[in-house]
Amino acid sequence: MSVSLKVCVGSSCHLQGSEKVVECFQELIRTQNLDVELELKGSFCLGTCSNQGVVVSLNGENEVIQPARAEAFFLSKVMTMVNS
Amino acid sequence: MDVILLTGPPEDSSRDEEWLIRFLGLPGKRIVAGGTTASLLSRYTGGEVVIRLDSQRPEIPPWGRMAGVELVTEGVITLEAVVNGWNKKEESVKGCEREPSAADKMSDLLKQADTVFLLTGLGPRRRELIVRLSRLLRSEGKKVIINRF
Repeated sequence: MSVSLKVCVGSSCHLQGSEKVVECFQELIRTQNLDVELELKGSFCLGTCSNQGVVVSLNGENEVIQPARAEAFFLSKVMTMVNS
Repeated sequence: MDVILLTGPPEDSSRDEEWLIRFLGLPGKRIVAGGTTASLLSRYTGGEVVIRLDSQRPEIPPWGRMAGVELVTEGVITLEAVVNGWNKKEESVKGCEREPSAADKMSDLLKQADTVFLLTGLGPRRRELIVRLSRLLRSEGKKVIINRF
């Protein structure tokens, strides 16, 4: 089953650095050749706005991440989903 | 050509449906500016917003599409970029074609219009931007109709 990863790119998340999170995920998908297993999408609102970071949704589960933690989040949580 | 721009939501949520029906009922090219606005419309029509992530810029969120709507963008950051950048165009790097930004897409559509309907809702910041935008559109000889909700 393919894994769904969404990044909120709405006003609040954009100001929290969503652009960097998207770029980081796109780069990792490219370098790890995951474009078949993983679908990266944007959303203008994932419904759980936070001023603590960017809202991302992994297979429907929301989480708030700091742009600096985007790679670590991807390599641990997202890769675990992809490999399971 | 007419362009209808929806940005809100309405101050009074009991007017949401009236506002969306007005938007969908007007003939022309439709623009939705705002995450909450896009979510409300998406829930109403059942259409999904598909975002072109490659169109994002460090200063402007990306744009998207949905059924029956020409352009979907984030709200105030994008509207502000449209108003402040009205007389300049983003420089294209030769040999490096990339997706136009959300602000450029919106400006292009608005500049093609003869008549622009602005269906605007909540927020003083949003209203101020809509007033500034309407002045720019009128200065180019376009007919502008503002409906406040």
